[in-house]
Amino acid sequence: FFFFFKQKTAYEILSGLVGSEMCIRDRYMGIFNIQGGLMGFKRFVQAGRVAYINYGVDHGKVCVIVEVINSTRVLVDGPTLGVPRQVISLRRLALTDHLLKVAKGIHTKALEIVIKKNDLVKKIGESSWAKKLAAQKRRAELNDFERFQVMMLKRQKAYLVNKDVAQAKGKKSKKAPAKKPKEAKSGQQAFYASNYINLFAPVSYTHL
Amino acid sequence: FFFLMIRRPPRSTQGVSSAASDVYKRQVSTQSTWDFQWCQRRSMGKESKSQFSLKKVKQYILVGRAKPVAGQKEEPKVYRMRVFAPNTVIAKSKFWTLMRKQKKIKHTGGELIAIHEVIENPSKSVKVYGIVLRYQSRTGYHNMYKEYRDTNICGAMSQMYMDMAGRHRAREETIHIVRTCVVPESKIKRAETKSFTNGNVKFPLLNRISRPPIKKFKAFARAKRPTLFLQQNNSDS
Repeated sequence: FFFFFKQKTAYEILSGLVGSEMCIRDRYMGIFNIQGGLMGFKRFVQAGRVAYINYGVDHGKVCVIVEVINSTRVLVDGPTLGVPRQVISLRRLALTDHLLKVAKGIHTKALEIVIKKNDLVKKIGESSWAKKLAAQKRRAELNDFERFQVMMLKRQKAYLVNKDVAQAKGKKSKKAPAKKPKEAKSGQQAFYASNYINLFAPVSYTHL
Repeated sequence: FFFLMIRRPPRSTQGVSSAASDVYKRQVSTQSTWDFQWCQRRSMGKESKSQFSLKKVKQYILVGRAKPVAGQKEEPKVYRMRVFAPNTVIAKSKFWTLMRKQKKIKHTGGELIAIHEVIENPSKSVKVYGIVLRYQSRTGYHNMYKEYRDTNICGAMSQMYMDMAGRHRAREETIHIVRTCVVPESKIKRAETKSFTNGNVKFPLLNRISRPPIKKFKAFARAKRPTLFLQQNNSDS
């Protein structure tokens, strides 16, 4: 009789996994490969991944992940990008969409060839991220007179925009409300596109 | 004269060694003589600054022997030891501790002939380092074999010390390094090391908090809570 009545251990009673058991299950990155899918992630830490360094000595530069050391550090290199081959913490990296086809541990010279072949420098420069960074940099470099010019241009822009908004509002109040907002919006956008004032175009002044 | 006898340290120890750092007898060996300039070169210039490798310890080679006694027939044997220590002071201390335990040569009765820091060339590739160690826990002594991925032995050793402290509460003083080696891929034992050595390893970065690039820009208080997903989900590269 007592053979069939075994005292249940806590392990047997529990229907799900305890926290530590889940950790054990997920230890070797199993969570990122549930049923073959990758849970919607697009950017991975992997050999060949292009990353942007956002902290430290090489802050602002772009590099290529050459080899993953462990979950916190990677070996990184950037031959034509101004980054010496080094170990860097993943905390200091922001992954980009670009991925080069390289074998792990690729040497600097071979990587240089791959970078040139893929025209990486150009591709990165064309990305909106790089453009945004360039605009930020430009903004930081403005001198007092340029900041004044920016203020004047912003004021002009705001005037034109508000004028258009007022017009659109006026139209909107007259007709049926349902469909009009879309049109008004596109009208605004078209206006923006045609009258875009480049606030960060280099301004030359020689009289000072 | 003795300096010329110093050999480049081997990658791994040979054969069985006791639970202490390696102590070598003076050997007539086929190994090339040590490049003195190489070992004296301290910094690697600009590169050393950007090397993000935790260096808790440095590698030293210490050479010492018992002091010759007046009536002695033979010259006392010279011993060479490879020691991992944060600085020369601790390295010397470790050297004499082990000389005393192993060879019955006390610091007072011995002389240190040479101490050199072993500086590895700056990292070009990632290796797997296997470390056999003996440590003292609260209840006894245990042997361990641990593997670490790193670009140099000192980095791997630093990892080991931190790992032991975190996992086993074993402080540096209680750990003795028995053997170290570079493990070829086919001989890796630990699953985690194996998974990272795999060329196809990839994982996303989660819970990314963007931090200011310079400490100067660190804000005491912020208006908004950080967004943790922008860096990875943003298809706008």
